[in-house]
Amino acid sequence: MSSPIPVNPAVITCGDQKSAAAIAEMLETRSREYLQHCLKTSPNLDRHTVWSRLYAVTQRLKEAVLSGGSESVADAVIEIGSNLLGCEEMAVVALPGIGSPPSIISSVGLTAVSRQTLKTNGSAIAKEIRRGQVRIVDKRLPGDEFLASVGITALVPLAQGHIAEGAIVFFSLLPQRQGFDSRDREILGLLAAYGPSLFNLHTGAGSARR
Amino acid sequence: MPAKILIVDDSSTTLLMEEMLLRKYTNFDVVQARNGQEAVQTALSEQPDLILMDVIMPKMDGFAACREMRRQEKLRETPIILVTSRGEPQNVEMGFESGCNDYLTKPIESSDLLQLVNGYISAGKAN
Repeated sequence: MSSPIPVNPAVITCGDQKSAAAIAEMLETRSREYLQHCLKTSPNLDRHTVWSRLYAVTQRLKEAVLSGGSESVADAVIEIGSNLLGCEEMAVVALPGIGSPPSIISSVGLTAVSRQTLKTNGSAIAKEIRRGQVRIVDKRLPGDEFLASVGITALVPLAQGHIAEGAIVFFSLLPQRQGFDSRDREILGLLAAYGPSLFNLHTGAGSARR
Repeated sequence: MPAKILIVDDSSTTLLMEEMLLRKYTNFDVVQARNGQEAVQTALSEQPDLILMDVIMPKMDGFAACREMRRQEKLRETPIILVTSRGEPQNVEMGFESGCNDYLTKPIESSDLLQLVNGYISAGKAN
């Protein structure tokens, strides 16, 4: 199975029930840190791109939190996945309860096949989500065969404490992308760290784009 | 006077990254638009030295906006770089047919963006 992505515990405890203003402030602090890293790094280095993307992610999430709409956070996550991770087919899902299949909160580009996959393999996918680890799926690794077989390329659980209440499920990537790589791990980790607090603020109606 | 860049995208995420890179690593002025229609209007009023434009956008897509800009006397020579998630050969070809000068695929790399922009701005100054 792919190795779990370490998440800064200081971030994970950032406040399950914190107010929008407090979370926005934390995101702004992180954002400023990423900007500082950026400015200390040559733009010719790969690392610079990572810092730049992390800066854009934190700024975008902050914008979504402050805009306050129930769908804005999910839409921001979808936009980040599409523009910074190069994923053309993804969904933010909620896990209503043990035994229930994931329900789609927001999605982009989801094919009929992938929608059906989320229904028919819902219990198995939910089980994988409840493992609570950010996963970049590699079909060559033991433990990743199932997710690979249903076309899932990455999985970001949205967990309050130890209980996963939802996930960001990534399916196919854009043609120019061969797969998620180490540079994507930090963005996925950031979404895992902040996602639960953000979605806790704005649980609401589902939406599907494009 | 600093060069002026118009960045066009319906995604805040992309605009945030592009604007940060251009403001921190160049001395260019940056103006924004959120769709093709707004891009044409802003380009006509702001007369940018270069346009970085997404393709898939509401109201008017990047190809149509590019064609419209090329119909305008004031914008005929302005370099246009299409920045898009659709990097397939047929899309790249459509981009060039619509009149763009270059093509950049998402997710954006810092160095690619800065090199392209600096290259076009330097070439423009040299002319």
